[in-house]
Amino acid sequence: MNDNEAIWLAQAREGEKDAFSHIVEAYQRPVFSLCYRMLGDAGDAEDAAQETFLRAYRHLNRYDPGRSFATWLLSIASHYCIDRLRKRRLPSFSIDDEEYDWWQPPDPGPSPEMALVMDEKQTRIRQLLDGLAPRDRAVVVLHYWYEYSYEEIADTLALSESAVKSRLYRARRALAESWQLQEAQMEILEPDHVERIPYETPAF
Amino acid sequence: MRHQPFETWLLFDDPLTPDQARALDEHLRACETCRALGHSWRSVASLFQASPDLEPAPGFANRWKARLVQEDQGVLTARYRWQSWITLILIANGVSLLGMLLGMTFFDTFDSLTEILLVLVYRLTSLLTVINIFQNLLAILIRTIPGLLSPSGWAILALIVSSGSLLWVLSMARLARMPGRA
Ligand SMILES: [Zn+2]
Repeated sequence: MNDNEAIWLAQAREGEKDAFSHIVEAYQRPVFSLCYRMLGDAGDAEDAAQETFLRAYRHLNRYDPGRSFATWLLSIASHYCIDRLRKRRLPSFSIDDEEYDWWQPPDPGPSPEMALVMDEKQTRIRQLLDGLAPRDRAVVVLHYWYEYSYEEIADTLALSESAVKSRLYRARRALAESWQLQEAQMEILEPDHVERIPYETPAF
Repeated sequence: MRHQPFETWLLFDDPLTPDQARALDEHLRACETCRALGHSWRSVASLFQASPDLEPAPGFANRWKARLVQEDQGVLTARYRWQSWITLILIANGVSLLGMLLGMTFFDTFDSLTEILLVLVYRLTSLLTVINIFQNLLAILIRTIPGLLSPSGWAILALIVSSGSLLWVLSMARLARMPGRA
């Protein structure tokens, strides 16, 4: 957080909406991006991101200035999206994410008025992430798009570090399997699409 | 074929020792399942890495501000609604309190009203009893008097009474016209 942001935050704490608007402006991208990766729909992501900033504004007194503001915001966004995913998938969803059906049909996609470039890659990512349980999904998103460490993810999602590790392992496995399934489906639809991969030594 | 610990090594970021790397390499040459898993995972990871942050549609902060204002208004409307409910409850309480007080006063009046009614009923009963007595007396007289005289006697009596009345009226009229009077 830069000096300007610290000033805006202090002003926002005094109830100045305009000051917090600058904060919204500064953090809209990471918050929206997280919500989009979590919910897979631009409209839902917009709504969730707006809600995140509203909650942050209303509970600004709960923010500890000793911690990262971005982490605090992303924590609000993650929890909100996890709740939303759980509500959305309530009928087929067990108490813990363990037995979650990891293959879901893709969402219809964002509304045309949302200025968002949705290419084939984004669709594929969305389909892959859709297969994950809400909390696992948050762990993956924070790890890959925010480059958060296990400790930071644990802090953001109120999990232990070992829980983050095991969730990440489980998620990677599910993602790899989901990828294989996608490839198999594409092979049926367009036999020329999938190139046979020669043996590769994994790069470590 | 056992795929552990190779699956774990494939899917974790943790660096491998040279011995572990050699063992994994050997396993991958022999195991197509782990080879496919490793390849799939690397494809997913590279897909993720190639995908940049996403941006909301322009005007996000303005939309946020509008939503904040709208929500505040909603809170305000809810507060007004709440206040009007409180007012309604207060009025209802006031009305019922007033009703209760009136009821108590009415109860007091009702007490004396019963007394009034009782007195009224008592008086009415007494009056009716008196009327009834007079009615009975009259009935007895009507039944007994005609028997005292013969019909011709009654005719002579009626003639005398009417002549006397006529005489009285005429003398009264003459007295009224006399000079020096009035
Ligand atoms: Zn294997």
